[in-house]
Amino acid sequence: MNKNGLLLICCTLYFFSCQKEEIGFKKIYEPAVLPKSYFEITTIENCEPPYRVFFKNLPSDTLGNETYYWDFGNGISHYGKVPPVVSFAAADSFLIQLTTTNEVGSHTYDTLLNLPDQLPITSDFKFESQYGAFYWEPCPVQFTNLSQRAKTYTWEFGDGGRSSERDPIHVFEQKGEYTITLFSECGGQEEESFLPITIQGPPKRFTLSEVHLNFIPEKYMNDRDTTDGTLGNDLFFEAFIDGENVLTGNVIRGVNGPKAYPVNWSSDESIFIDDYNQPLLIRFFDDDFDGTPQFIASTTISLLDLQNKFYPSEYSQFDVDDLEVKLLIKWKD
Amino acid sequence: MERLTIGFISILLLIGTTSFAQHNFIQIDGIYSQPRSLFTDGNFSDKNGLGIYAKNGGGFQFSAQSVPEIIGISFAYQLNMFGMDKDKLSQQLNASEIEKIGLNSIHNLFIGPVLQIPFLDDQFYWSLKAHGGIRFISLSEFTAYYPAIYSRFTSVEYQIATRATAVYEFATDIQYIFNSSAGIHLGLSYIGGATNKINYHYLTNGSKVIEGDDSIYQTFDYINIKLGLSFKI
Repeated sequence: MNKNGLLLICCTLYFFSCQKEEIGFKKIYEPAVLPKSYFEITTIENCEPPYRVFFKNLPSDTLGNETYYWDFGNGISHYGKVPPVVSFAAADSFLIQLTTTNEVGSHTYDTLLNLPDQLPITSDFKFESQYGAFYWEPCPVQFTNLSQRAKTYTWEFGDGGRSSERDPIHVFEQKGEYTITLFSECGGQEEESFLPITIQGPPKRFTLSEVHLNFIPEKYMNDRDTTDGTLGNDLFFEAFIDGENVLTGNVIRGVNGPKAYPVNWSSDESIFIDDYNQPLLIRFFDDDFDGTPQFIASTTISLLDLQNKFYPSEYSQFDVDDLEVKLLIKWKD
Repeated sequence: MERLTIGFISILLLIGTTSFAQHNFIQIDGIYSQPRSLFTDGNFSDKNGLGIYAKNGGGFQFSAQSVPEIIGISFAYQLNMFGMDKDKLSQQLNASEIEKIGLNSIHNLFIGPVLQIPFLDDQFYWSLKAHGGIRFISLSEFTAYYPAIYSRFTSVEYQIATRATAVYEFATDIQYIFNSSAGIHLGLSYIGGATNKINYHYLTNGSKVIEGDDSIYQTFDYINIKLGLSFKI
């Protein structure tokens, strides 16, 4: 046997002789513990009896099959993980107890709920524009009432508008700076809160992120174009505002059924708007096989109408002779 | 002793009168496997008191050998599967019950030299093989369940990674070819290797959730008894 063979045998014996001590699976064990009951009082509605009280169950060390027993101290008790909304008819002190039980045992948490004859009210609110970060005129604004324990509300929006709803929506028609006031009332108490709001002018530009055209080809195109089914930049459109060509788009058409097909186009090129009274005119052309553009159809879209519809991100318009135009619009400041 | 000596001399005479020629075989065997270590105290059986508490198992083997004279080369694929003694593993882990998902299986790929000696008119062949190769050890995932009144963990899941490691086999077998191309095959082998580190991941359920990684160290040595068909090609 040569030296290399001897070396190989030695290495093999060494490899297999490197025995580590055998170890089994780790015992993963901790002694069982009692479940811990805990709850919080999240909300108290009304400034005077009857109070409506909301609770939130926050147990810990649970095993998954616990039972929960609630005693609200007013003669009402309840079994279940989710507590009910409990009405307390009179001003008093109530001992609220929650007992959580599982295989290990039971644990009770209690707290004293003091309900006086009258609780103070607070007034607060927030709002959000329908346009997200923008407040373009006309601007629908959603108000969220954050007042506590009040019963009635009066809103003054600063533009002459008023509301008594809890969470109203108000449309600010004109740009300007307004102060919104919320009057919250209950049992002779009145609190008020204010927030300013600035309404901007309308958006100055938009992009047509998609243009969809549906029409019956036989009505608008020659026979060759309606039957060949080829793909290519053989359609294009031109958009005009006040006679000025603001956008031109080459489009790819695809045959989709025997009677109509969509023409899709996408771009993030901005179209500026100086005057919303001027309509948007879109004219569609076929490049034709001879290279001579052939007019197919046109549609006129009222920017004023889009403004009155609160700047929709999707807009669809049907014209005569089965022409349908769908636009996906992104409005920009 | 005298009988043994006479028997051994008779076998040598039989071999001596045989003319050697090329003999190639394909063998398909069923296997009975028993965890047993010849070189260490431990093994992976239920008697070890550690690890996976494997029961005796079974499997199959496809092998081929080409022997130009009396020494040639042998290839084999072998699958061995072992059960698990869940009661004993439960006792080790202090669990009330073990639920097992999957099989404990070891896939072996072997290559090595073979010494093959025909005798009795090329009807019998005795072989001695020394195989080396690689094996893939896949252990079943399992979940240990605990009574809630004793443990914060109602269950612990053990997810075990597959391990690839070096392996060797010493095998001997005898074939009886009762017609020109087919016969039966009986074999015995010992499979061994170094102590293997098998990684696993654990995840608890219950009033406290913890997860982590750990390893077991275990030899996977065992003895195979093989019985099957042999085809001469």
